[in-house]
This record gives sequence, C-alpha cells and structure tokens, in this order.
Amino acid sequence: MVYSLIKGIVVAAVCTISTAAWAGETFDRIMSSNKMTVGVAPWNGFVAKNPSSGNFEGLIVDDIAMLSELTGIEIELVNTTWSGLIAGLQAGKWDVIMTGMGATPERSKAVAFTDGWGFLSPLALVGTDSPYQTSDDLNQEGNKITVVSGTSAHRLAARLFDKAEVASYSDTGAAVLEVMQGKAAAYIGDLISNTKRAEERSELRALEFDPSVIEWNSLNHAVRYDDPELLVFLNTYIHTMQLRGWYVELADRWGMPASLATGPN
Amino acid sequence: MNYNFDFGILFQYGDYLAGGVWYAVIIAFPSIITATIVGMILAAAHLSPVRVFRMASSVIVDVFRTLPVVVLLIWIHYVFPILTGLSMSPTQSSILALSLNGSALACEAFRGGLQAIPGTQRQAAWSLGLSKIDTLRFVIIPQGFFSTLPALTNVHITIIKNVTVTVLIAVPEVMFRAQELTVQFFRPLELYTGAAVVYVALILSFTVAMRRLEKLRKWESV
Repeated sequence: MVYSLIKGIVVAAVCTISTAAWAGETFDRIMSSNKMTVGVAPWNGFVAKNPSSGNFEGLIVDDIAMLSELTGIEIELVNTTWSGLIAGLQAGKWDVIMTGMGATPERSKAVAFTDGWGFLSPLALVGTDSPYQTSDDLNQEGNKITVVSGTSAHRLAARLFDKAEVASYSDTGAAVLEVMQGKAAAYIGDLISNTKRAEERSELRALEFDPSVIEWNSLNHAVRYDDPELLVFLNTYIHTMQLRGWYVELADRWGMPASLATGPN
Repeated sequence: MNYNFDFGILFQYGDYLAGGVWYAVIIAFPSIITATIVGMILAAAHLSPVRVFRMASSVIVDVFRTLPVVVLLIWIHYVFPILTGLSMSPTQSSILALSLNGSALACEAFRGGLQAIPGTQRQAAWSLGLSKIDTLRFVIIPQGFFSTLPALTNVHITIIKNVTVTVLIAVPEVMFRAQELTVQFFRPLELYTGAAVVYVALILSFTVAMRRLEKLRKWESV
C-alpha cells in the first residue's frame, strides 16, 4: 500500500517535471498554431495601452504588428509589469518578451536576449530652477542622484558620481518625484523617456551628459534558453528589418531620434 | 517643493481608472467568502479534541499568516507553474493568494470568538441530545461567527486593501491602471490620489454594510 503510494508520487513528480519542460517545444507550437504570446510592460512611446480605445500603441507595438504581418503569426500581447517580465517568461506565461528590455550580462544569466534592435543613451533630469548645467555640477557633496536600480543609468551614476550620493529606487515615478520635490539634484534615465518627461512637466528640464562619459544601452527581445530556434527566428527578423531601414522609419514615426535605430555610430 | 498639481487628468481618464474597481471586486469578494469559510473550518479544527486536526490547523495558519502576501502571490503565479505545469490567470492567482492569507487571519479572529462562548452552552447542547457536529453547527459557530464580526470586518478590509498588491502580477485593477496612466502622462500624485479615493469609497461602502449587519445583534448569547 505504502509502496504503491510512493510509486504514485514518484510517477506524478516525473510527469510534473516533464510538463515543466514544455519550453523546448515553443517554436514548433508557434509554427503549428500560428500563434505567439508576447509579454509587454508599459513604456511611454514604446508600448502603452490607450485608455480611450483600450488598444496597445507605440513603436514596439508597430514592430510587433509588422512581424505578425510578414510572418502571418497571430501575436497576443499580455500586459504585465517590468518586474514580472522575466518571471512570467520563465513560468511560461508568454513565449517572448518584446518591450525593449536592455540586455545585460546579469540578466542574460536568466534569459536569452536577441541582438539589439534599438539603442539608448542616458539623460539626466534636474529641477527647472536648479543651477546645474553639467554632470560635474551634479557631483557635489550633499547632492542626491536618483536612478532605478539595476539599470544602465544606475551603473553610469555609480561610475560618474564619487561625491554625490547615488540613491536607487525600484520605481521610476518615485525616483523622478524626488527631483520634482527638491529632495534630489537629478534623476538619470533613458534619453527618450526623460526627454518626454521634460517636455511634459514644467518643473523639470533635461541635462545632457558629455558624450565621452556615457554608456549606451541596447534594446532587445528575450526568450527562454530552451528556445534557440525562436531566438534565431527573431534575430533573422531584426537583421532583415535593420537592413530595410524599418527601425529608422519607426523612430521617425514616433518622434524619436534616429540614434535609437543606429546607435552611437 | 515644486510640483504643479493638475487633477484634470482624473476627469479625463477617471472612467478608465474606476474601471479597475471591477477587478478589485471580483478578486476581493470571492477571497473574502473563501477566507471566511476556510477560516471558520480552521478555527473549528484548531479547537477540536483531535490532535491531528489541531496540528494541521496550526501549521496552515502559521505558514499563511507569516508569509508576506507579495511572496505568496509571486510564488503562486510564477513558481507554481514551473513546478507543476499548471498555469493560472492573474485574477485566479490573486484570489488564491488572498484567500490563503485571509483564511489564516480569519481563523485567528474566529478562534477568539469561539473560545469566548461559555462552556455551559456546549454542555446544554449535549444535554439536549445534540451530537458534537450539531453542537458546533447550530450552537457554537452561529454565535462565534456573529460575535467575531467586528474582528472579521478588519480581516475583510485587509483583504480588500491587499488587492493593490496584485499590481505586481499585472491584474488591471485601480492601482495598475494608475501606474499605466502615470507612465504615459507623468502625473503620479494625481493618479495615485485618484486610486486612493476609489479604494476608500470601496472600503467605506463595505464597512457600512458590515456595521449594519453587526447592529442586527441577532447573535448575542442567551
């Protein structure tokens, strides 16, 4: 009786483990069903749900629509949060992350990144009335520089500011509010989001870094390591569309700088 | 301080924000009902003369009362599918997480209420020929439930407030929508204030309903 029970548990556990290995069949499933599930997180200008229509809009949404049009694959977007993107991919909630996640060596331990399809440089936001004009002005004792933890801006701030305090936040909103309320000297984020913030909020203005000190960040898609075929498939799309000038066209369509598609050079 | 408030965004997108109430309701109320029923069963098990029931109840309550809801939610939504291959929607995961946490809290509220019922009531029920189950069903639990209502209302309010945690797994409730709109319009304080107003209204309505139920006083011990 006890032996049968143990045997049953072992069989159930083996079945469970084998069901968890569904990820290796992702590409075959996508090709046979012509359906792919994509995890996205809100990012102004790139992926955002229009509250009036309820539809997703943005540069990445247009890119996904183009991928769907060229391949005939029906793509379902699943709205999630930035913190849930990788966990959801690993849990099989979606097949691929397409929301402009930046590839880093740390993140690549968890997920496989495609080649970069876009490139971003950092930009600082300071209070409109603040006296700061250069990054050197910000690097003073008693100044607080806010960043979102784990981002390329976080690394840049840690490298650039040896006198100012670098404070990392989990949420962009809180990090920007620190500057708006005069509690921090500057917030460092990506060029495109911060340019939009400076345009939208009269309390903030942009402060550009010296090009020689900045580090660029790539924008990539991500899949599970069990899905190398899907990675090849997405890379082929990215390379082809880069040669066709698609990303320059997209950047222009969404009022973003051409450097988004071309990178530092 | 330098922040120019513009609450006009709440008039512009207030209906989208308020649309999240539906998700708050369909998560909170099933969780409240489940937590109340399971909490009552756990409390009865905790007071049972059978040692196995008492131990099982203690372990369940201790585990789910001490686990932070955030951890429980992420574990159910993201880790559980990896281990079992069974995937739940964000709404289902949220109901399960809030129900488990709420059951542990409700159990403790019920335990206090049940223990407060004088032993003479049980003895009187037995002398009338009621079985142990019937004594629990017709005498102890009805009184315990209603005398526990004020404490239980606190547990229910905690469950409703914990719905905001489900933003982590992207349930499109009020806080998630406030975040979505913040990303697009850079008005966090106005939008989070709007979300707070919505939750206060929801919880106040619930509290008023529970107070009316309390005032019926139909449960007072003889």
